[in-house]
This record gives sequence, structure tokens and C-alpha cells, in this order.
Amino acid sequence: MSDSFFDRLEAELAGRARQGAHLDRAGRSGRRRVASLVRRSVVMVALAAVLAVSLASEFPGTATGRALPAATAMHQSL
Amino acid sequence: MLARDRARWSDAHLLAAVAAGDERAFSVFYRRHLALVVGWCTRRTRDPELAADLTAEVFAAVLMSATRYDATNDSAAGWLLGIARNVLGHSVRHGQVDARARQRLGAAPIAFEDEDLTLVLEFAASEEDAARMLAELPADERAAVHARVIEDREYRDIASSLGCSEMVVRKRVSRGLARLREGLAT
Repeated sequence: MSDSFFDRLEAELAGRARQGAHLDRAGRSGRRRVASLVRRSVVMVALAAVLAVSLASEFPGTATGRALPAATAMHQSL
Repeated sequence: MLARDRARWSDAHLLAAVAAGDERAFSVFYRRHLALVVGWCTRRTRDPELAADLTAEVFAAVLMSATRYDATNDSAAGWLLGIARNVLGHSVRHGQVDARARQRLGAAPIAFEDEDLTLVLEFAASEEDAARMLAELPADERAAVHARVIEDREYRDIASSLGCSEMVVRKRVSRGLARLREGLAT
């Protein structure tokens, strides 16, 4: 008599448990989370740098920290 | 450690052993709850093959997440059916049976044969027996088990509606499920 679907399922999963497949996976999962966090941090820093560069090129005054109020800037241009 | 010792272990004890890689503990847990999961999946899908496939994924997910089971928060049956609900929900959303846990484990696919159909229906019938036995539980345990396992409500919410503490509700659910298991085993 052949094993049923559920007997084979039990044997398969118990075999995986014996091999520690779920434990390996848990470790890999943790490492993957750390790697993902590092990747996200790098992307965020890169985005911030690109944003800063583009702001500096569009508004040079603000990049130096010497932004003038709009009214003063208008008087100067007159 | 003898296998028959494990049969006397609590679900929490078994899951802790499963998390540590005890395959026999997994087998005991699997056999203890198989009918519950198959019956639950069959009732919701009305498709024995699909129910068997979902059951496979549920127990693979159990293996993957045994380390996260916390007996102080939930009964094992409630936790198990929570996993079943997630697996079913993911499968419905994606239009195909969730197989992520089995893939992560590297588990081989298992073919569903015609002879397995009868077995699924037997499990489903045994769950119907469980429903009948649920009706025979003492009123306080029946209300607690029904609210927690069937309606999937939070312990706090159940405690509030039943006018008792969460601890009392947990005890009633635990006692009720133990009675159901004993009844099904005889």
C-alpha cells in the first residue's frame, strides 16, 4: 500500500526539519534583512546627495547659506 | 527520548522542539493538528486537492515560524489557523496557491493522487465531528473557543464581551481545545 499525500508530506517536512532547513533559512533571513537595510541606507544617502547637488545648482545662494530675503534681492536688482 | 513521550507534550513544548530541529516533535504536532487544518481548508475551498496543497504550505510555514510561536499569546490551534488564513489569503490575492514556505525549505512537490481524495474528505468529516463536539462543550468554553478559533477575535475583545479577564478566556480556550482533541482521538 502506497503512502498517502499526507504521509509523504509529513516525511518531506520532517526530513527538512532534521536537516535544519528551517534553521538555515532563519539565519539567512536575518542576514538578508541586514543587507537590505544597508542597501536602503546607501540608496537614501545617494538620493540625499543628488538632491543637495541639484538644489545647489538651481539655487546657489541657498547652498552657501547666504540666502537673501526676496524683498532685499529685488532692491538689489533695481 | 521516546516518540510516545512526545505524544504527551504540550503544543508549546512540541513547537519549541520543532524550532530546535526535532523532526519527531514535528511529526507529533503534524498528526495532532492535521485534521483541523485539512478540514478548515476543505470547508473554505470546497476542493480537496486545493485543500491538500494549502495544508502542505501551512505546515511548511509552521516549520519556518515555530521559533516565533508564543504560547502566552495564543493557543497552538489559533496560531495554526492564523497561518492557514494567511496562506489562503495570499493564495486568493495572487491567484495561485502560496508555496513560499515550501520553496524556502526546498521541499519537494508532492503529487495528489485519486486515493487521497477520500482521506481529505475523512479529515473534513472529522472536523465536522469537531464542530458537533464544540456544541457539546460547556457553555463558557464553547463561547471562548468559538470566539477565538472560529471568529478569530482577539483575547482582549473576547474578555471584554464575556465580562472576564484575558487570562480566564485563555484558560477556557485551552481547556476547550484540549477536550476537542481528546474527543477526536477516541
